[in-house]
Amino acid sequence: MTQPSPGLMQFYPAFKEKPLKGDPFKISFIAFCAALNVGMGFLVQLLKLPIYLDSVGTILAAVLIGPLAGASSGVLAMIILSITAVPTAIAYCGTAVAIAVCSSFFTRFKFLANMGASIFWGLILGIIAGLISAPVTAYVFRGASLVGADIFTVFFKAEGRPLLESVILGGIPTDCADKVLTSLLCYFLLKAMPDRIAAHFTESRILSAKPE
Amino acid sequence: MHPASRFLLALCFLTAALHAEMPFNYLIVASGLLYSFWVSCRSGFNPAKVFAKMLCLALFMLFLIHGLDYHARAASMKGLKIMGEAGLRFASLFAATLWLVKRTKKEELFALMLALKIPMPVTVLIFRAIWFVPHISKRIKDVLLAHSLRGVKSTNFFRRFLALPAALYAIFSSMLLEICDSSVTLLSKGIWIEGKKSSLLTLQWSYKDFLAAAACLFVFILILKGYPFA
Repeated sequence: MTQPSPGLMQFYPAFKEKPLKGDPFKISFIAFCAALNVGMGFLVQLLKLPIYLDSVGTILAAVLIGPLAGASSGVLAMIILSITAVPTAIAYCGTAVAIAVCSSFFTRFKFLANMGASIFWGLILGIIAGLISAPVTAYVFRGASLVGADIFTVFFKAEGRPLLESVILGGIPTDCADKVLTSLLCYFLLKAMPDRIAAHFTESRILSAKPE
Repeated sequence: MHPASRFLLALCFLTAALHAEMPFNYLIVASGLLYSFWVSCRSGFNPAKVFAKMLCLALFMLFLIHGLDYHARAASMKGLKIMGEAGLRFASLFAATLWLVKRTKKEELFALMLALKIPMPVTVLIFRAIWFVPHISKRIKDVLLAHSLRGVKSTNFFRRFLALPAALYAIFSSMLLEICDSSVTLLSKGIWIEGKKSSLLTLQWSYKDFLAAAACLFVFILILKGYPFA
């Protein structure tokens, strides 16, 4: 893996972490998180729910190990999704990286420490994810993202709005709802995580991440 | 054929499909799409049905977004043209991915990654994640079946929604043991030990790779020359 620049490390020391060095548990956990992102699609499909929840693993890895781990897990999930179900998923790797970096950064502000903070930061994550994925959807795929938000895009486009605006207006509410639910699920998972497993993660990170 | 040649051919197909002039681009994409659906599956994993479904969904959504003029209550010619262009992008991407997935075995990909000297932890991470996916899918089915047998009802939206955290927690906690097992496996495989790694499959170049490289070169020259491509 390429080393981040010293400037970036200065800005955010979590980038100093090397999740792929040393601990095989962390590698397995990142791989599991990537597979969980893919598996969530299957779970919501079986439960017939109109949401996607494909960042549960990314947020867990980012919060428990660090932004690089979260980004690896998110990008890997997008690659697997693109070869198993939707080839266009690969274009949303940037969104996965942004979610990982932001959710790791938000742990400094009590993200996943309690329910209220999880909902609030989940909303912020949703807005960020919606804004980052909108240009990809609008300019690369001309508005079709192949998720539920497309219905809203059709609605806003039919009102006569420009494509990018329609994608943003359709994407942000669905992304916000999705990320709030994802954050709440991550909060419950962290709350229920056994101490034996939690001990695998660095002391400082688990203290800020583990819900009180 | 060497897997690197396959990736080169897929890239060449995508470039040709996206740069060709009006009738040629549709011909290239249609033939590529038909070939990718027709070609036999070497890898043991065939996502053709899922891809076909998603491609139809993409074309339908593009039609709804661009193809209809909702004020005039008629089809929009300008919108249909945009839909066609976007549809080409989708179809070419789907065709290239489907062909790669159907023709490339996992062992070949592993050997290619070793040959490209991609760091071992990264390679292992990718293959572990691929290994986890069917395990999680199976666990999801088992957990949902167990929940329904224990009387967890999923008759309406609200109940199904409430079933989600319980199911996810059961899946997560049951998979923790497998994560521990997997980490022991990784340790025993010695992925951090320095030195050259080996794979079961030895990749070799053949005359097919030479032909593929020549064909790609020919297409790239055509693209640069601009005929029949724009």
